[in-house]
Amino acid sequence: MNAGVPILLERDNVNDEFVVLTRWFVKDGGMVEDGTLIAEIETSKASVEVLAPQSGYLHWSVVEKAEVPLSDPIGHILPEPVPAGSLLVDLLKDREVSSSQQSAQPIRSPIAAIETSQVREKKDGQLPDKDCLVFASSMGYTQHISRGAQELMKAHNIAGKHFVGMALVRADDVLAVYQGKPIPSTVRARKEDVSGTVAEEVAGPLQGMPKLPVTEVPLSRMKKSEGKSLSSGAKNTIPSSVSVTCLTRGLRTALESDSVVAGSLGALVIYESARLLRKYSAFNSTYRSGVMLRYEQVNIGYAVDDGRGLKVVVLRDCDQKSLGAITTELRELVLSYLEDKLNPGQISGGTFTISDLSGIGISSFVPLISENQGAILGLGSEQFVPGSKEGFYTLTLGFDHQLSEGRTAALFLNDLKDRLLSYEKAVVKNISDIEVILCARCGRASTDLPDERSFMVQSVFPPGYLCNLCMMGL
Amino acid sequence: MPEVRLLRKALGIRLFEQRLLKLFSEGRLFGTVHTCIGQEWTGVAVAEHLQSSDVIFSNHRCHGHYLARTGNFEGLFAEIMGREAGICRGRGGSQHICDANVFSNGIQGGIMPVSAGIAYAQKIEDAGNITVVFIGDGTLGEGAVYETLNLASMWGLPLLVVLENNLYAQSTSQQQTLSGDILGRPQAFGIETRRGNTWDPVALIASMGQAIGQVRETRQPLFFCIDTYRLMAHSKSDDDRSRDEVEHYWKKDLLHSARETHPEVLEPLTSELEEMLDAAVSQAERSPLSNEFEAALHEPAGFWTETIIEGSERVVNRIYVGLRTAMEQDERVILLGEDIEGPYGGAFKVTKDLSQLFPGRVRNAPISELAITGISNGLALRGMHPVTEIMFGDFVMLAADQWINHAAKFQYMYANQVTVPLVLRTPMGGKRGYGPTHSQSLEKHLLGVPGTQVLALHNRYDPALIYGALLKDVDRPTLVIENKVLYGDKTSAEAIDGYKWFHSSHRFPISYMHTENHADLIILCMGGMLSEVEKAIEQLFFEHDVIAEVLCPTQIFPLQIEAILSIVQRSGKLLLVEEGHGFCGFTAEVLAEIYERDPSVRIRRVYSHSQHIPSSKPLELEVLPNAARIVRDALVLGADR
Repeated sequence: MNAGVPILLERDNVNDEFVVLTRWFVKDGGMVEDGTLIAEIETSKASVEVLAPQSGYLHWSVVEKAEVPLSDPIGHILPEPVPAGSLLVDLLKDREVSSSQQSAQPIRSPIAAIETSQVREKKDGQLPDKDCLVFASSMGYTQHISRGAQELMKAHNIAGKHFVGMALVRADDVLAVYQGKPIPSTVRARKEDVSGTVAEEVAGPLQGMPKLPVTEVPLSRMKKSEGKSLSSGAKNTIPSSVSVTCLTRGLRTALESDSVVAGSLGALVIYESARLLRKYSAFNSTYRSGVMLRYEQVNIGYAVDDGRGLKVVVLRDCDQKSLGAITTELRELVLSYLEDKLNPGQISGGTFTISDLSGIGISSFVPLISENQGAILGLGSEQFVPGSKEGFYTLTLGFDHQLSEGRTAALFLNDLKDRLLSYEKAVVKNISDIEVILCARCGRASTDLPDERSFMVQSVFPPGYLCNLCMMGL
Repeated sequence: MPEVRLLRKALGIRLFEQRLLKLFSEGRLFGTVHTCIGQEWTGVAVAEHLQSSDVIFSNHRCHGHYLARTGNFEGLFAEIMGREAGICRGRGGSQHICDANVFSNGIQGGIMPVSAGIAYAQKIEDAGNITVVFIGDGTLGEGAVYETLNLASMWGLPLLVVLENNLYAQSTSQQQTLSGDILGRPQAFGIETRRGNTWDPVALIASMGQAIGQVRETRQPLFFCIDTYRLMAHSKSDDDRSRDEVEHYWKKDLLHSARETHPEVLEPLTSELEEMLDAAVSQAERSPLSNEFEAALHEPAGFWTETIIEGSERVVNRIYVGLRTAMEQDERVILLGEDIEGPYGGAFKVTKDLSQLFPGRVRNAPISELAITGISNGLALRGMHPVTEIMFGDFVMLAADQWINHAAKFQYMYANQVTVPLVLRTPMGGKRGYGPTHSQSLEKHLLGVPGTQVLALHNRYDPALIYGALLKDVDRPTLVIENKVLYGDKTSAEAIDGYKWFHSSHRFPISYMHTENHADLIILCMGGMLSEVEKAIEQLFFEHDVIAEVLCPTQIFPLQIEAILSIVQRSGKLLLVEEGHGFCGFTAEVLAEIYERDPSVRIRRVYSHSQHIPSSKPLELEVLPNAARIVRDALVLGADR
């Protein structure tokens, strides 16, 4: 092992906990012989010279004029030169290993030697933290309890004794005590609905009125109920979202010629999501006061809105239906929506929602989680660079941070992306209907560009489009 | 006809420069050369009367001044050839030399206040030394000249200003650029003047002797105008003067005409000097080319100690205590600035009664930021420890030339023969309603200049300790940013409940408000933003259950990035807060430095709106970053788990 030999200082004055390193005589990284004069330190009484404890390459742990605790090494002697920069980190890693294995005994230099056992004791007491991240304070921390935590403690009559010794107490910590779990002191806290029930809108009619002149326009009943569902969804959740960009060569166009889904990208996404939701059950759940309520069914809501009000039609047990069945059912439901013939059963009981704005040119958006649900998928439209065969679309998953976290959401999206991509590979064969545009400089058509990575950009001068070859002056 | 010894000096300079032109055409030099062919007698006349402890400060056309003083042909050859044996190890080249009390810098005008500063130090030393500064008639266009003439006259500095009047500024004739009378300028400041020319060197040398003697004796400045003519181009191939005019001056030139009138003197002298130059060139070329990078200051991570501050005085008082203690302990510390003498004691009352406690060491200066900073530079070059107050940080821009082109450069370009222990103090920041030109945070324009350091004070580490550490052994130009709002805040290490203040082991520590809980994010800020960040941290915890810690470095350049990174990596999320504008700002640089080392850290920034600072207070508070904006961005960053 290439652990360095620490250069420790002699405890020549019991009153000095700290000394000042006044001068290095050898550069950081320089080679030294055993006994070479390497540094000078200043104690409250005198200046002391420090000699190299053995031959090798010197690595500084402190700079000149720095104050050093007497118990810490001022540097190390390494057996071989190490490239600059990484020294400190690598060395510390090595040292942690070596001190736990007790293999590299610090060698005492003639002048520089102190009770090494005491030093190691101190080091062993530390977790895998680096030396530089030890925070020793003279007194304990004054406890600070967040508003949310205070309210929970009051509501559940939880005494402060549970949190003795904690510097900061958050709602999460109180909740953990309430539920008899270990205190999750390292987990970020979240907002909590104390009563556990969905709170009604609190704001009275006179509160928070805008100061500028306004005209009151009554909202439709449908809009009100939609708002209620979304706002209660928002109240009960900590909305968060992640997005993933999917490359495509025209999935939507290709689907139109596919006999099974007959142009319905929505049906395909419902089908694939339903299968994934069995794996990622946190997104097919809802949150109630510290508990995840996982739905047994996978009922997928599909948001439709042709201008007469947002409705979410619900397809039940999607994880057990074939793609063809889903396509048919979705078409029927949309038809009922257009004819205003939806019955309450067709728009309730969803456990997950998909909001598909891919048909109206939206690139990406953050969908809002519906009442009693834990996640919603937003589907953006395909975006193509003019003349390019490859475009992209964005999938966004809005989710309740109380139930899951960004990483899981990202995994879900990536799985979905992969499944859509493999489907696309199967159905997209020849794309012929790309708009052909010409480069304003070389006259090359977009279809004649040399490879798949070629593209055209809009140009002001010369007016029109330029191919990437001309743009780069090739 | 001057004596042979003097002829040899002048001819040596001419032959040296002719050799330079030849070497240049052979591609054996770097950069360009400005020859003084035709003007050699100015340097010879001055050198004739100087003592070795007197100082010459010259300009871009400095070879003659240096060689007349030292005769070190080989060292100057090697310097201009960019070699290690050069007088500045090939770092300075033709225009930037430093040896045997001869300095030069290629910036027009800026050398005037620096020379005045050296003269000021000589006045304090009281050993009878003087400083000679060489300027050209072209330099009369620079404001620094007049700021300095005023101060030199006002303060009675032993400074001899020698103006070489060769009628041209590079290619532009004086007739296009110079109004009024040359000597009328110094006379307007009450400075005595002399005049001479290089066509009568004997008279010039005698008259120069009187002038130097007078400055040495009276300790008052003097202005000597020498009419002369540059027989070759300004630099290379940039000569549009009429042939007839140039020809006329060649005929007047003594070294030229003596070839015919006194060949018996000139011929043996020439061949002797040429032989000497041959040897000097070949010796110089034997030295290796300049080959060493300047070492960067290494700032390892260090360790952390709890911060304990006894009592709780206002920041302005702790700065005063730091300065006062330094003045008590070290008489090299002197204070310059506008309105700093007591009883007024500075626009922000930092220097209070120091002028009464230390008579003569705290001086009110005229409104001349460039000259004050330049004089401080000169004082520092001479080993004094000037601490100079720039009344508002916005005015630092007026002194930027002295900071960037002089103070920062000297140590490096003079090959570590000098240090510049200069401290510039200035208040920055808004929230006092002073409007667009008195509220800015302009530090970003002065960050990153090699050879300098920039500190920003705050109230969680005692400013008196910072000034103590700094003035104990200041070794480089140091800009200290004091925040206007912080002046009135209490210096205290009292942290928000649940937190404690720690500081790193650096000479200028990083302050860190730490808690035992795992932090959701780290906020990094500097100076006056700290109080807003603290408010935000309290809100984040109490209202939003988000735990944030703050890092507040004092040394903002060079950055102690290792230590910062080690803390930041513990939470993986970093919010950067800066009072100034974000584009190319301090936080942009921290972001880059962190990202280059660890791309997994998620980072956001909060900074001033990209606009000027209004005087109207409510709008000003919205333009500058505030606790509410910090909370908002922290929540956005924190939610992104």
